[in-house]
Amino acid sequence: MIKATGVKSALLTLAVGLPAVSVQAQDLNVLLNGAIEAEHCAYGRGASAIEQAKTEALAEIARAVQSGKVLSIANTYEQMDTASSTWLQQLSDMAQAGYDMRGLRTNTSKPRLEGSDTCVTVSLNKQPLGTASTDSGSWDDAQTTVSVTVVGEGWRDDKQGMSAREVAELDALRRAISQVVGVWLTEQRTQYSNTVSHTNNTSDNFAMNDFVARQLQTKSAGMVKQWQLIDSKQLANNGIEVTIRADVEKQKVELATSHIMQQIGSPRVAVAAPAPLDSELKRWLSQQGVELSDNANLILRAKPRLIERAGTARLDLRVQVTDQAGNVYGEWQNDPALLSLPNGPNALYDLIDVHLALEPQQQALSKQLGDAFMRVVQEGGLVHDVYINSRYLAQPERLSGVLSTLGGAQDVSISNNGEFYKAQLRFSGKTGDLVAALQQSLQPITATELPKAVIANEFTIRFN
Amino acid sequence: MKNTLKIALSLAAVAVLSACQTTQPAQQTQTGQVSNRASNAIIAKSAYRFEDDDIKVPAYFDTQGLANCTFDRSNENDNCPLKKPIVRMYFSGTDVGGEGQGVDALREYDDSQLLKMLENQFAGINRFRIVTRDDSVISEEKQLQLEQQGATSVANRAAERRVLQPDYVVKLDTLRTVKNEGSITGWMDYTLELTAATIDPYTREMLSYPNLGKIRVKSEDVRDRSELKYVMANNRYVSGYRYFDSAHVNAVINDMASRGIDILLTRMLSEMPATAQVLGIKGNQISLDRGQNAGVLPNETMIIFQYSAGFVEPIGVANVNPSRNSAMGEMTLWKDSSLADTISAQAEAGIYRPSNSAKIFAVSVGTPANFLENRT
Repeated sequence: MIKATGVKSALLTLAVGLPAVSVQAQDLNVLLNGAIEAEHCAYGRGASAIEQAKTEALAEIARAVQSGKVLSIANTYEQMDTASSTWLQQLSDMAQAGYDMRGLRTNTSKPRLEGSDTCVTVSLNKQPLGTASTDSGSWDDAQTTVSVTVVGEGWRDDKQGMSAREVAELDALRRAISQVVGVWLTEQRTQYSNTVSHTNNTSDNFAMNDFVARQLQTKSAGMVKQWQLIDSKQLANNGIEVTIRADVEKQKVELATSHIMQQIGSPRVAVAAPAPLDSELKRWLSQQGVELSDNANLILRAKPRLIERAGTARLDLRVQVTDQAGNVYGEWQNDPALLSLPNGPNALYDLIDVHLALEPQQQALSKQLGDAFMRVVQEGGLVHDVYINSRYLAQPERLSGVLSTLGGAQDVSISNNGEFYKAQLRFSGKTGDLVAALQQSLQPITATELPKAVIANEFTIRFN
Repeated sequence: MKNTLKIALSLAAVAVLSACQTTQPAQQTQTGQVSNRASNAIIAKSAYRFEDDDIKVPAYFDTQGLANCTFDRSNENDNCPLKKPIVRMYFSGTDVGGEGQGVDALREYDDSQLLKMLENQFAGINRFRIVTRDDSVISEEKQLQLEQQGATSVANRAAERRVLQPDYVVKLDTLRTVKNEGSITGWMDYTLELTAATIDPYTREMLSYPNLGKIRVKSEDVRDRSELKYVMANNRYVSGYRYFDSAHVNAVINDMASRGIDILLTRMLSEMPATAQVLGIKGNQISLDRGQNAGVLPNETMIIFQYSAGFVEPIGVANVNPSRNSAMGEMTLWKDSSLADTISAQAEAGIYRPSNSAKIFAVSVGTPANFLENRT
């Protein structure tokens, strides 16, 4: 009956408070070869009944071993060999001394049916007794640096004027930082609740570490205190693989990473949704630690729709994270099949409540938000609109070139409506920093001195 | 003498030839009467009233064991005999066409309530897992839970326990007709014909099994003819049965449909009998490896047979009562055969446990004898 469980590791749950079930104690046997056998039956059929019978049988064996009962049974066998009686004695002694019997191998027989019960025989065979050991590594607070050994690969880069070795070393250093960031992020998981969901599985973890490491590389230097070359070898097409051991400064990684994480984790968002969804979403976003602002460049657009059928209603809810320019950074849709309620005036409220109360849906929405924020940073920051009155510009044709050279700015595009030049660009810093940078860098191409900038909102700067 | 011999031989040859010519063609078919009589329920005889000749293995027995079962309802192996198809039920009535006395009232008949009755009745025999179409009760209950237990609890429960996805659709088609007879004093005569189909909604295949045939119910099965009598004068209704009143017509049609569903159930139980494996026999007591979980009903009449090398050999009949996962039965009559004698002798002396090469099974004969009395 049912598949044979075979030999496998089993937990000898000694003092587990099992739920009161009708498990009948059966025989406990000690065989001549030193194996201890217990038979148990549990009410029901299938895996749960088998598991229950097995657990009870194992507990029975454990009790018998601890109490020394196996020895008294075994003593009656005069013909038992010395190895077997020694093993029983040793097992009993160790169990009494508090030896953790988990991990001992047991055999479970094929289950068989007896009336409404399912029965199994579990046997603990003679086997070497030892102790298991585990090793773990963690962020050691006592040290100021973390040493990691990493491998980097590189090929000659004529564009940047770097040799293959330099590229390989840079690659290795980036990986070193990435690794340390990974260790630190794991330690700090609970701190950034917004971004926690990203780091829940391994592939996302790598993506996150790598992303942060790349950001760190462009933003700051000196995270690696020192490094030494351990090995290098040639790769195909004149490439080089280097192995280095790098000491990464913990504090700097911590500071820079947390800065980036904050940037990713809490940009401001505006909510565009019909009532009552808007207030529900705002409440939920506040709970998630996301800052709300009606003038934010990032907008959470939500569209609820009631699917009505035969007097019942279900909710179809779609959420998009976009910016003012219409770029979509993330999308999320609920699972409309989750619940249907009687269609009435409050159905929409109730359904929104239930859908936003469900943990996996919350996490999925949260993850989409987090991903969207990460994409914003990845793409070079939010889109800002800069309006400059034409009369200030002496060389408007150079506007695009000048703005492109601004530190932290990218994706510049220019348009003109006669009176104003409108520049759209992504900027990863604060709006105030952008204003300061603009005033300085635009000087060479202006006809007269620029007036004081008017910041219409977080993403619109006007020189009227 | 020679001539006489020749003649004799010739005569013999002619006789042989003529004998060949007079051979009759094989008679394998015969003319049958197509009946339009009302259908009737066929139920099992009580095991206590069986005689030796009655002990034969009925159709559709299935000797599949529980070895393939995971006993996990939501993830059961396809080869497990306890795995039941998940179905949603539909009751579809064809439109009543034409004009005439009582036709309008018959046309107004609403069968949505019948659907719920059908679901309830079918769920009880445990041959299918039924996904209810009763949206109003379900959504009302969720609304109440939302008020009483809160959104989080409802959301978690809803996410945990998703609605079952049906494998098949069970559709019942009904055909309703009416005719009236008589002149001044006339009576209405209603007929309801029911057919059932099991359909794979994706491939649109109509399954050939279970085949429940056609069920015909006539108004005279549920009402005395005098109850459907009415009196007309000058072509106007005067008194008697109110054939034009949909409430009155509904009452009759409901009874007819209810009877039709009862017959349908009995056919379903014969078409899909409960089968179980006999784990042991002690005296006259038999122990079966499954019970309610395999659709064994109380007071089930079951034929006990040995299955070996593809052959079945009946050994007796038993009256069986189920528990949740197993069933116990009483052998009411052992078959008069050497095999049955051997087994019964061994069972008398202790517990007889069937061997793996000659397993013993039990198959239900059909609807238990007291089912119609107690359950319909």
